[in-house]
Amino acid sequence: MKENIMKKNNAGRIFLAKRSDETVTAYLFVLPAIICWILWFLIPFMRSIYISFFKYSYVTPDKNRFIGFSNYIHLFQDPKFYIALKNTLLFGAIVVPTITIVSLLLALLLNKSFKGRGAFRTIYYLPYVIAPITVATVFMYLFVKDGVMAKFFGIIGISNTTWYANIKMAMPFIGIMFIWQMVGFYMVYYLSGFQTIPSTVYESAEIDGANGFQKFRFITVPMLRPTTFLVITYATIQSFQLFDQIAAVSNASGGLGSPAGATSTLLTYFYQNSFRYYKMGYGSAIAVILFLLILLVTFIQRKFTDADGAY
Amino acid sequence: MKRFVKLIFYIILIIFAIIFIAPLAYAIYNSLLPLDKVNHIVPLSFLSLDNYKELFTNYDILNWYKNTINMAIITLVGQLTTSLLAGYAIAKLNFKGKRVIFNIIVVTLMIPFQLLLVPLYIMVAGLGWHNSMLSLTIPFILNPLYVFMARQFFITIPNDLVEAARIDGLNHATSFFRVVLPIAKPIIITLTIFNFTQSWNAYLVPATFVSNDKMYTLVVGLNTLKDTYFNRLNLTMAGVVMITIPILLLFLVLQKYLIEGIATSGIKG
Repeated sequence: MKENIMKKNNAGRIFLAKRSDETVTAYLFVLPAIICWILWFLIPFMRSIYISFFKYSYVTPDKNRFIGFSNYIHLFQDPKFYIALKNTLLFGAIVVPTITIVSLLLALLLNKSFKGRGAFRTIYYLPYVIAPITVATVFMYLFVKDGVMAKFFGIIGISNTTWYANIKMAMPFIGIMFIWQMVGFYMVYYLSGFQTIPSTVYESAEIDGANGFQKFRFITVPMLRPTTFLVITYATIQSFQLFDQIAAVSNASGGLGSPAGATSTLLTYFYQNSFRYYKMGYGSAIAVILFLLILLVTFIQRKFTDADGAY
Repeated sequence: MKRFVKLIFYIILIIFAIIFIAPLAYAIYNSLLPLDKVNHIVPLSFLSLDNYKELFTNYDILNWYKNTINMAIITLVGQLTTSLLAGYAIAKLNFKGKRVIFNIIVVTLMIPFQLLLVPLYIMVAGLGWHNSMLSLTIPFILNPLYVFMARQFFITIPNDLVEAARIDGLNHATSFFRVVLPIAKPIIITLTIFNFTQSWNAYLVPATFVSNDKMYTLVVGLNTLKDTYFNRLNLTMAGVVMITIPILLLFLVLQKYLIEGIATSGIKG
């Protein structure tokens, strides 16, 4: 078979056919991706923005009408939108730095080579593989009234640990689960980040008499800047897209975003409007705001990393 | 002194390990207990598989498995096809519009999926795909992130290799399938685990596109189970274990590649 092809394509013909063969192959190779992209990304993306200018419901198509920027104007007068926006931003502001610091510390622990390093790395990564819904389910049972954690926290005088149903504690509870699940994933980024630092830098610092902390502060942290920005950006985007844990927790205590809107975020508010109240135009406007927020984060990240010249 | 430091070091490592493993151990333990013994330490003779039996006899869990596996395999085949082909073309072949396509992919990565959810829902319903496997798979056979990752991988393959295949008389397509694809194992494995974990654990899409409990995936099924029988801790934990064990095993078998894949294919935005 192979010889057959070789006979047919002698050297001269390869040269002649090279360009067109390459172009045809390339277009054929990208074609499936392009078709899917147009159908399932481009069209829905444009349609989503289009719908956000409509009073739009899938249920009553005859009542759909163009209302210009009304959805957006309404949004900025909607107190529930502000609660969702506040929860989204506050969640990110607390969870992202925590994830960054804890994942860096875990990576520091695992950076040296020692017995069982691989096993620990696997264990730390493990939570990331488990479904967020499952994680939330287990955590809720751990924290129920008279549950295991209630007994544990009872020792220090906190006996009521049903935080998922508590207005003040529901969001911190989700934050704990989120951090628990994500740190192992970002630890891997840091571990690979460490490998980009040449050991000679540390050696010359040692000659200059730097101690462990100084090496960390003045070499490791600055040299890890690209990794840190990457971690911060991804963790921020991921925290803005938090949904499953909230769905798991709030379904049990009545409706998405419950208790009393305490776990309402831009994404859950979008979902509630689009798929519970069938206000899909209004919902789409919220999704557009979420998109702009993510665009902003990515833009800031690009600016920083470009200035750094790392990419 | 040195030994003391080492001891502290291992204690810290083990404390973290316990924090990460304990919830799973808790789920497994309680899934083996009768309801009146949950959250208690009991002699080993109390443990039984009764909750699992109940799960299989009273609930559609076999169907949920079937749906989840179907969804994972169909999207996997689709996503591997679209991303390996396109990733290779963008990395190694010359053609007009290559840069444009690459830039489009990078920009698309910034679009939060949720922005597409309403239009996708309308499209899927319009096509009559609601409550069918079609709605959970066809819109998702392209993942721009995977095209990006495949491209990053193929860039690292030496040009000489492809050239050698060309000189041997293979055309571009055959040299891809015969020479490049066999050495693309690391990226194929990485994408496979990524895709499988994602499909296996997905909640938002199956919960939105499917309302018939025959078509539930495992995660959606578990969530309804938990909402309906919140007092049945042991039964729900059996559900948790049934969902988690398969994906955990897959991860443990292939984890070496996965962690390398994250480290080397560099999911850089």
